[in-house]
Order: sequence, then C-alpha cells, then structure tokens
Amino acid sequence: MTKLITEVSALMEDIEKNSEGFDKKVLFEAVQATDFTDPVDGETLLEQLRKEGLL
Amino acid sequence: MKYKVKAGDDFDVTSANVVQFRRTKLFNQTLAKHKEVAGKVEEFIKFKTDNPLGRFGKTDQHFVSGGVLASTGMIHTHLTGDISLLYKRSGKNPTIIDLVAVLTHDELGTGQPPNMKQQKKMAKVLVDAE
Repeated sequence: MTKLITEVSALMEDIEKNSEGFDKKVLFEAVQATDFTDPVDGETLLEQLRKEGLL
Repeated sequence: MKYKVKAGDDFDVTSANVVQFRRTKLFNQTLAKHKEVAGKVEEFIKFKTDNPLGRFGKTDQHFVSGGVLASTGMIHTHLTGDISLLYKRSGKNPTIIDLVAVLTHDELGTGQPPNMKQQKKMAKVLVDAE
C-alpha cells in the first residue's frame, strides 16, 4: 500500500509539474481515460459524428 | 516514399501511415455542448488523417517532454481562443488518435480567476466517463 501511494503521489507530482496551467486532476483523469470506442478511420468517424448530430 | 507534409507542419514522414481515431463518451458530450466548434473538429480530423504528426495550428503541442503527460501522448490544441481539444496519440501504422474532450478554459478550471469548485466538478465528470 505504501508503495502504491508513493507511486500515485509521484504521478500526480509529475502531472502538476508539467500541467502548463491546466488542472492536474482533470489531466490525471484524461490520462486514465479508458472508455474509448473501437478505432475507425477519419472518414468513418466523420460519418458517425454526422449521423449522431454532432457535426 | 519520402514527402514533405503540408505547410504549417514541422515533420518529414518516410512512409504512408494508417491513422485511426477513437473517442470517449466525454468527447461526445462536450462536443455536443460546443457545437460552435464542430467545423473545427471536422477540420482537425481531416488534417490528422493526412498528417498525424503535423501540428493543427501553433497551439497543437504535447505537454512538456519528460513528464507522464507527454509519455502518454497527451496533447492539447486550441480550436478557438477559449476552447481546447484534449487528445492522445500513440503508435505508428496505425497511429491511434484518441479524442478525449472539448473543453473551455473555464470548464478546465483554468480561466481567470481560477475556479476550484469547477475544477473539482470537471474531475468528477472525467471519473464518471470511465
């Protein structure tokens, strides 16, 4: 547990050091994001976004 | 085959490279909220399809090299003066571009003055997006 806390602390410190003004918590969560869709090419993605009304 | 990428880029590429995109629910939600940048997002996708390593404007850049943000490919680029796209890039042939979120400075908690309450709220939104 101590090792894990040390690693997370070091990670947050690293992110804060390099955050360039963005919020470190937001960046930490962005780095951890895993709910990605299946990969598609750009043309297919644009079609999908249009169908979903996002473009 | 070696060729020079379009103006505004600062990389030479040495072979054709397949580019694929992924997106998060948060990307969908935040893009829906900021429909005014839909055209810029479309431009971004088209540009990155042809030039995954190229810069989409001067503000398209990794976080400082050496840190974990850079090592994960985390990049931020301004779509407008206030709205930024957070994305990641990894691999080669295919290069995967992960679209993470479209956020204003205020939503990122980095507006002036800094809004700590909003920063906490956005952190929770990102957690819930998992």
